[in-house]
Amino acid sequence: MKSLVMICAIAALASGCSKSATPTSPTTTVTAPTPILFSGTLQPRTSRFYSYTLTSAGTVTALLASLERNGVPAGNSLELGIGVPAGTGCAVTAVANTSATLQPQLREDYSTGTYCVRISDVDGLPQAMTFTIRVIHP
Amino acid sequence: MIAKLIGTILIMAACLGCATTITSPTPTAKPIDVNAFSSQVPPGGSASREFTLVTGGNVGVTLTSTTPADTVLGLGLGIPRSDGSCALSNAVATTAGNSAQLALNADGGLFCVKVYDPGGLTAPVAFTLAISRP
Repeated sequence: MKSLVMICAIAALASGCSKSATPTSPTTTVTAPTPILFSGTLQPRTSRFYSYTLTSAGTVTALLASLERNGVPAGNSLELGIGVPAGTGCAVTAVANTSATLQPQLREDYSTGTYCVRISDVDGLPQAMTFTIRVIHP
Repeated sequence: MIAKLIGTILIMAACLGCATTITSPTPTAKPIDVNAFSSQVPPGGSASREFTLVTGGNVGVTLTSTTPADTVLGLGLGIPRSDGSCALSNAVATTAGNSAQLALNADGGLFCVKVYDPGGLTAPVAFTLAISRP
């Protein structure tokens, strides 16, 4: 009799656990890309650059989101580049000649490390203008 | 008696072993979003709002009405700066209408629309605009 009760109890234990033992797919944690904004004023025929650090490898996109003269969008083109800091500058490895837009002009795959984005006036702006660059990285 | 006791203990163990920990759902941040908004532009001033694109695509902005009617306003699209102002990528000076006066392709992310005095307003102008997006 004792054995029967034991067997029933063990059976109940086993059947109770089996329902929750259904394997489920592991949840994948997706880290949202991080946007960084760099804003400043660009004088005619000058460059500015900003550094940022990637703590995980992945795709980096950069766009010249805005170029304004007295708060009004300007259609001038600038050279946008991304690369690695070198000395007191930014050695760009990819460049795009672009006016302001809301789609990435540069898209590169990078490993972890320190990188930079550079904005340069090659053609000669008529006057100083304010700009905003958006870099999105993993 | 002993068998009953053992059985009870086993059943209790089963309950404890199979207990499911119920966790509260993680609250999801509500995206900053507008599909339409109304406000006023004072002389020399502006009004802006932010919106989120979950996926990239074409964004259209329609200045649907102004009071007084037929007032020309500046209408721009861009991205929010860290200080909250709207850095414009593109803009037009326009009166109200039924179709988008400004349309741009954009990637996913946070964007802003700004309505501003293009110069010449002498009194506040009320407006309504609508945003279409993917």
